[in-house]
Amino acid sequence: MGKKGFYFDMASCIGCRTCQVACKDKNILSVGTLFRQVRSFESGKFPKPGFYHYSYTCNHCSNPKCVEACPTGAMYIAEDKTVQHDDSKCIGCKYCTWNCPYGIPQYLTDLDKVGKCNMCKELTDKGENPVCVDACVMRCIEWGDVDELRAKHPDQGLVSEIAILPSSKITTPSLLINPKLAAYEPNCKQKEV
Amino acid sequence: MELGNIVEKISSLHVSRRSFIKASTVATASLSVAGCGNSLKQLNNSAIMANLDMKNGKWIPCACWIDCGGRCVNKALVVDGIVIRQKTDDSHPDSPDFPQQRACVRGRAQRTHVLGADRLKYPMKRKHWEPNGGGDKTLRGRDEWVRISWDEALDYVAMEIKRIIKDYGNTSILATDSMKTDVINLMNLLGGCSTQFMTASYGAWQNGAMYIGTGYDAMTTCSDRFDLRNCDLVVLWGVNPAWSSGGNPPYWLKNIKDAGAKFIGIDPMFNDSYNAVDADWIPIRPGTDMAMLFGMAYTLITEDNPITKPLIDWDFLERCTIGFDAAHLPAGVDPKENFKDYVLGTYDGVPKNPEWAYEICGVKPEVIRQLALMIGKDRKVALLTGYAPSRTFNTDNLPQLFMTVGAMTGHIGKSGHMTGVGNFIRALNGGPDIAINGKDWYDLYSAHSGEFADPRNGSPIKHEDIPVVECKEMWNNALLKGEYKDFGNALFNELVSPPIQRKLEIKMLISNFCNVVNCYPNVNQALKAMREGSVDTIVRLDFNFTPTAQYADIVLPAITPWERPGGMAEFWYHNREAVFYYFQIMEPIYEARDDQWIVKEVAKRLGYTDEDLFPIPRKEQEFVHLHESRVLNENGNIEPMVTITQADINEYGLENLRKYCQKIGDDSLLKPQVGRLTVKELKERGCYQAPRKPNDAYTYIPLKEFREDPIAHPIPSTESGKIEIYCKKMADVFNGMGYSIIKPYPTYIEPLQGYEKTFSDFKNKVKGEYPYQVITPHYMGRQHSTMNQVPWLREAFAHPVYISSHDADENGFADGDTILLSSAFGKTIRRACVTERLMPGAVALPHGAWLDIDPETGIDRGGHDNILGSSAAVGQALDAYNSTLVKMEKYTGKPLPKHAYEPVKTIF
Repeated sequence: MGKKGFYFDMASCIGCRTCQVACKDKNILSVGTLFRQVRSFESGKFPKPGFYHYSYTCNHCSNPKCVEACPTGAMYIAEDKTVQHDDSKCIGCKYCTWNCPYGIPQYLTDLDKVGKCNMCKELTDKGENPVCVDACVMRCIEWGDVDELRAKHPDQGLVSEIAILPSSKITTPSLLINPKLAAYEPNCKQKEV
Repeated sequence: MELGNIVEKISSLHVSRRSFIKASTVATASLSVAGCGNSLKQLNNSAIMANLDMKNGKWIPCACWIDCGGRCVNKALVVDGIVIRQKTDDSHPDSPDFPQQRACVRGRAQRTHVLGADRLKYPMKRKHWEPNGGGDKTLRGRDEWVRISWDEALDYVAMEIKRIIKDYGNTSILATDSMKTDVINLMNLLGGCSTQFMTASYGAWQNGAMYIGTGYDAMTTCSDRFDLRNCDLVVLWGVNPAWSSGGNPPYWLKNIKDAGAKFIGIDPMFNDSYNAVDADWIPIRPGTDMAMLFGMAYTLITEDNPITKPLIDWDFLERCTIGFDAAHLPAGVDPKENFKDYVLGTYDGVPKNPEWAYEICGVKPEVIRQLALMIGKDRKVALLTGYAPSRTFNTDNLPQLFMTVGAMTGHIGKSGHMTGVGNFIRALNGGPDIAINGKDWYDLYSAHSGEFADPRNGSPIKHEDIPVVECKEMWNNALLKGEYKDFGNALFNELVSPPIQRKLEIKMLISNFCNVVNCYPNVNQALKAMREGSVDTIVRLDFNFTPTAQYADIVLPAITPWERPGGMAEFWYHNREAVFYYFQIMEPIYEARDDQWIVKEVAKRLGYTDEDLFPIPRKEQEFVHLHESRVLNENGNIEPMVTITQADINEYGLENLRKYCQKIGDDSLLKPQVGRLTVKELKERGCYQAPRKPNDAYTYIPLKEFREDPIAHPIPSTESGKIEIYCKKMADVFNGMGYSIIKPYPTYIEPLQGYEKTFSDFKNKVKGEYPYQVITPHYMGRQHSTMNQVPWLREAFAHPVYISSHDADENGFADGDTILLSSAFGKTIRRACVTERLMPGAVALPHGAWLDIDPETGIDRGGHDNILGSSAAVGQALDAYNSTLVKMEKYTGKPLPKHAYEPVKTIF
């Protein structure tokens, strides 16, 4: 039994951001706070552009820097090896937001606390999927045991890092990406869509 | 106050559900508005959950009603009358063959739409409007608003209707909803009214397709999703279901790719559909598709060799078409007037070869030639286009040319071969309905009494005397000059020619559907017509503060489908395999009322009863809908969808329906029936979905029987029964409209406001005053102009203006710069997204943003596409949303913030 993580089929993603909005809906997040966020990247030159979307969220890393940085133990590795956050212990010091190389934990100004993806623990405990998984119109997002997810997609050359992400050696993310070729292009720019 | 606190407070005070909904609307308002003020309120999920009794929580199917091209399951988690969360279809496990009907990002954001800060809360009137033609109409759109009571508002509306009908006649009231709506129903009861039409989204496909022998939509021209998996090559010509067809259509693309097809996308922009299937992109200049198609036709004609290089399907051309060459023209036609000789340049000396095409469309000759060779007859090819290429001037023959290239290569009527429309409704899943939504009550009454279907059916005004005003005639001619061209029943493709110039004095505009101020090209003309024209009173029923409401005189706040009794989803035809049921999930907010209640109250004031207007109330309308829903079975027969027991009938009561059935002497609507699922099951699932599997009886291939035997199965809509590459009827109808002249076969006409017009001297390539071509893609961040102010969508989709890197470099623009776009007709501003995914010379401004004119400068701040467009009319008067020429410069005024933080238009 490996770690639980997310699989993301970048090759089929249409950048529709349904996962992002379903996540906001479930977590009741106002504008400016995103526990899952789709960003779009462009590279290459006309008429051969490279273009892809990446759906950012917590990678529930094996070596999470947010947990390492947290002075109160609010951010912790749970029994199921996902990275969870105990709101009651959080003092809003933001160390986790500075230490996560993926920029995932969000500082919530009004609460003076941090929040992030908990892999919809309250739903998965009941046997349901995280909301982003069931929301995806292109069926690009899956979750579960990363070894099983890898075995489910044997021909896709799944990776855990692409040009826009930090080296996976830093935190060992539980992340599997079916990449587009453009995702290896370091000279890419984030674009609004 | 943040939502969490409101919930706590309300929980402790035990206030009524109604008050809570008021409060939660305020919370959403503060959420939206707080975003602008940069003082974000974090909503505390746990606080809400802690204060609600989650045991009472229930997932309830709820409506998504936008005109997106799809239709899906949407469910709301309702706890103590409060919507806590949304989800989509989970009624069965998901698989490609029998997929869940998953909602798109817009459906998932409905919660912040329905509870948006811009909801209309109270009836109101414009401060300087006065009844009886008084007041100051020049202040429309810039006046103050006065909150009034429902009684006052309804009295005003009824009084004005009465006065105008008495003094000027029914035709002086123009109902601007070009659909069956509750307002149209009211007007029919009162004796009819004027109405209007347009080609709208459908471009040249709207009126021309039937005459030449093809359908105008994907339902009738595209194979179903299973047969598409048999294609070797799918050519997507200006098609983007990822943005323009909600729900599963983009997923069909993925299924087709997984089955092994290759894709080519021809488009000014490399869109998300092409990207998701790794399509080879052929960038093309906007509005020049006909030139490229001629270049391909030339290649096919000149390079085809039936033995060594078979490209053309001569057998199909011979058996199934007329007019390809001189030998196949209808009797009596000048033999020089034929497609083949036109393409070869036999008589005009201009071969329409790829070199000729390149000059116009910008696609290199070798690419045009190569594509022509790739689509030769022996490969399984889908040639699919969208409406966008023909939402341009002078493309009346584009559907005919597209179909001609498909006919030449024989990609019609065979498995894995198709030519037609692949976008919007039924994108990539053609064929007749399998799950058939029941007749709504409009259909019912129309069928039985002919009384209510539309202003032309059964109205006391004689059928042929109802003014049907073409939308480009509406503002400039009808409202400003008191005249219009009568084209006959244009809504039913019954155009008459020559048109008759008629007088028409419009004194009132009334609507509850089309966002009419926002949706026609050249909005400045609309504003002028409203401020200076003949109209005394503009009435608008709406649920949020759309531009049509903003420019009205009396605004009546309506509810959304979340707040009214349940029923079957609107726009059912958007989904072939499923129909949807929704419940009321919340109480109406503030003083908003059901549209049907509003028109009944107006009718009451004019001496009619509720039953005169709606012989059966909403709940019984729902019963009819359920009763009349049907399923196409595997033998091609229609059978009931919903099992209805005597107990169901008893539960619904059906007092009024019984009376109605007695009146018409037919009680079939009151009988129990056996169907595929019970009322309870339908309501629990929110959906009936027909099972599908590969090679099942529902596999649809358009024109299959026709291809096999065109004599036994002629095309009913063409005069010859065949596909018409020479179509006299079409040319006669369009030419008869009196705007311009087309030939009965495709020819290239230099378009009004096309690429050539970006030059002051095309021959020497000297650019003119407006050197860029604007396209207006349908956008994922809203649908047409619906959901324009939803904060979660604005955060997700930035509504930039896309500018090619080439043009940005030339002008010194960078990402995020505020750019002023100016056309001969208006100006707008947007933040730039500089991209490699756009043909140089093309500028993409996403469609549908609301008009927001800065009163000081006259510049639109909303990135509104129609402020730039021209309302000129040529050919069939199609609405040329993608024929707009502009100049661009950096805006020197206040830069725009990010879209998520732009102000939201609200009132009270």
